[in-house]
Amino acid sequence: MATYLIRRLLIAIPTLFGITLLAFFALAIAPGDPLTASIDPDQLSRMTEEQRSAARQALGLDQPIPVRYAVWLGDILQGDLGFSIVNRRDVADDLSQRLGPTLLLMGTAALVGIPIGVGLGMLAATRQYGPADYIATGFSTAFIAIPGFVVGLVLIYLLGANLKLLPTSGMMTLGKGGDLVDLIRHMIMPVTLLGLAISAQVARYTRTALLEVMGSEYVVTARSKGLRPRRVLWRHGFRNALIPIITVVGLILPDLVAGAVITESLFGWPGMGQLAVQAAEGRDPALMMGVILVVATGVLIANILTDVAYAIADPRVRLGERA
Amino acid sequence: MRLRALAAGLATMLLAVSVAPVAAQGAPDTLTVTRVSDFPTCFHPICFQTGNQYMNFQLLYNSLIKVDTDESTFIPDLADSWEVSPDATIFTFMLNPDATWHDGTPVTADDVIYTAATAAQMAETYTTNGTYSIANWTAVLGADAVAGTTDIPEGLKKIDDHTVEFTLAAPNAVWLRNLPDPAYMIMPKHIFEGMDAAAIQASDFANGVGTIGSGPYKLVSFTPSVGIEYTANEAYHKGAANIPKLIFKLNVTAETAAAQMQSGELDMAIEMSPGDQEVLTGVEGIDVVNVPGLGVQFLQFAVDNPVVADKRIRQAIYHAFDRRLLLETAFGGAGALLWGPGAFDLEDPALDRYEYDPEKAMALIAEAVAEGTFDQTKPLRVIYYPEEPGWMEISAALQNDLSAVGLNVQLEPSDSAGWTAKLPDTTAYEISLQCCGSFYHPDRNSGMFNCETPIATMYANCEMDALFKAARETGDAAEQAAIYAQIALILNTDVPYNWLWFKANTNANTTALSDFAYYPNARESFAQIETWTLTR
Repeated sequence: MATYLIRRLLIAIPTLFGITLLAFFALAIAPGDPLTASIDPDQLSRMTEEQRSAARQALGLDQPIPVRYAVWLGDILQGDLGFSIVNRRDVADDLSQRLGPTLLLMGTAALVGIPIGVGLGMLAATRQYGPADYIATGFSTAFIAIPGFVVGLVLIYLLGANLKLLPTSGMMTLGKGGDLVDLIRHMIMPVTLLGLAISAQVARYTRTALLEVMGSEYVVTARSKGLRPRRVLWRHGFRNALIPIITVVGLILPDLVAGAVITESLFGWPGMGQLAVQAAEGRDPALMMGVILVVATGVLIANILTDVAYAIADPRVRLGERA
Repeated sequence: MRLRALAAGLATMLLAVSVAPVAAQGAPDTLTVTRVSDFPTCFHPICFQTGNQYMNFQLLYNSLIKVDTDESTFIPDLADSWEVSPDATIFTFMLNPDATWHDGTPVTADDVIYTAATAAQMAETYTTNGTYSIANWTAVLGADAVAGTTDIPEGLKKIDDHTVEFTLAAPNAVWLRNLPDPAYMIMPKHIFEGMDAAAIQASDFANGVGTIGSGPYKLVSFTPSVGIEYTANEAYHKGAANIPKLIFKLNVTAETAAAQMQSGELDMAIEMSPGDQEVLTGVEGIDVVNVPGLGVQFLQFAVDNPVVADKRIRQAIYHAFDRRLLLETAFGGAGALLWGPGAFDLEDPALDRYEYDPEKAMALIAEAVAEGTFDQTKPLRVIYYPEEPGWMEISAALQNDLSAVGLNVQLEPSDSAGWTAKLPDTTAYEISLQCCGSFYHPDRNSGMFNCETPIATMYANCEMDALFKAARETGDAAEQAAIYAQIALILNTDVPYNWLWFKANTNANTTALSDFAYYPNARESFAQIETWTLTR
């Protein structure tokens, strides 16, 4: 296991390099640049070509793309994530300020959504074609199909604007110092939105996986041996249905650092998703690369954790061994 | 059983936490405001680029003078009184002797001279940062000579500790009117003395840490993308603000501003989406108003592009586009129709009002086609970005109306950065949607034209540029009006732009707020904030 983990981590380095290279070039060739994104169009249109060139030079945008990438890479290797042109701050400061709120929001949503999703999926599978199955399946279909933006706006207008029960924006009430209750109240709606989306996906996979497993010969055998239904479900059914569930949870894990762009924008949550949008809209190379670096690292770690989880869940899986 | 108990406990806890109404957030001593826009981390004019900085600078700092809500009557700010020489060359300001910085240091003439001098010295940095214009500072006699140095322009003179004299390189009758702009707000010499441009931009002050001004509010804290907290400056020379605390919320989106007003999280929202007026009208505790603004919606032509080089085509488009109908139906009439540049007197009967007339449009097009100056098969590429309020509606209506007169319109939306990137390349488009500016004076249009190095539309008319200069240099109101009438006729005829309408701003506030007024230039609305009252 240890050897496997070390090898995976070492392989991650060139993978990260490739991801950053692709991302840097994609951003560089997109129409516009940090100059056009950061300067008011009125002001920009009044600048002469010489002034625009001078501005580009001041921002380091006059260099060829490969040179700019090499400079960025060199800075990264020295621990310098660079300076955000859009926000006029060190990228490290931006990332450190945004990562915490994203981990809090997404982590809470995952902790809420995954168990609910698994529970609903199990309920639906064990009560197949019954009222509980229809309700659970209907719920998961609805919250996969309905855009999160729509659900979010309904929550905002219902619970915030009309009933005035919950705050609609931000992490805490400005000017009040902020306490745990205030934070929780601000989290309820975005966590609900994200949790619903996560549980809907997980419920579908859980139901499908469990139905497939519960029809297996070994489960039938276990039942016919007289084992209690609960034991059959948990020890034989659920355990063997874990692999696809682990897969979908593994796909959710990177979002813990990537954030949820729409939810964060809707609820004014100062997280990584919003930062990524700012970076893209602002064509801010350093900021965008910082975000990508963090998210790509999260994806790679999530992949490793998922593989380890497979090995724990299924003794037949041997990490790192050749077939 | 255990699971059920856990679920019940969790539900009870959530219910308890959510029961307290949000309206309690509206603290009696705190005004929470927002303007739907961004805010880059910068508290110094050297990197002043956005409307939200405009508003926050008004809380922290002072200009020498301000304007009242009519956008023309001057009122004291840092200067109690002022004198202007008859030839509009020498401007003398007598500072309020009670004005102090938030750290208790007196504000003196040295601070004023320092601010104007360093702007002239660092003019290139201001330009490359794309900041709001500092033309007033660079218009001072000797300003050009000190660029890149640490010298003081010869036109800046300290008469005494509270009297400053500005001598301009050329007469400028509109110089005073530009001074309220936050680009000219006075900075503390004792903080910045000796710093170069890079040091200023990297300073804690510029980044919202320990930032001090002389204005009605002191900075308490700045959290990027979250908000800025202020407390009233008890020693403010114009009298301490009535409202003890103020919070400027950042990162409020157009989609959620109205909801935050309704939930009580916001007390005031400036420049909301026009559609929010319908949402908020009739909501208890909220007033929502459309205030005629100074920003203009217009079509910008790439005049050097052969497709629209013939002014008859630009005139045809003006006639073909039913902007009156669009303003009424899509924007609820929130605006004042234009047929010439903003702030000019457009009642001159010599001016063509470019009323909706498709027949006239087609006749003009036919003329141009017959003379071979217009190829009707070539597309008119219209660039814009859909997120700008109103541009989706304008672009769709434009395509519809121009197609009806036989013009081939191709809409090319992109995001803001992509759109801005295309603007300097006039081969890449024929028409760009444009907004807004702040046209409080006809001279505000002069910056859009430069016959020696054409910019924006690439329209070059040296006769017109000379007229703008002559208007600035005359202190005679009647003579100035006559000159502007000539300029209006030139632009109304040549139409390098199709000016659509003055935009109205949709603003909302809690009814607990009183003794305040919105400015037509909405960003200027905090100019007299010390007089506002909050009663709840």
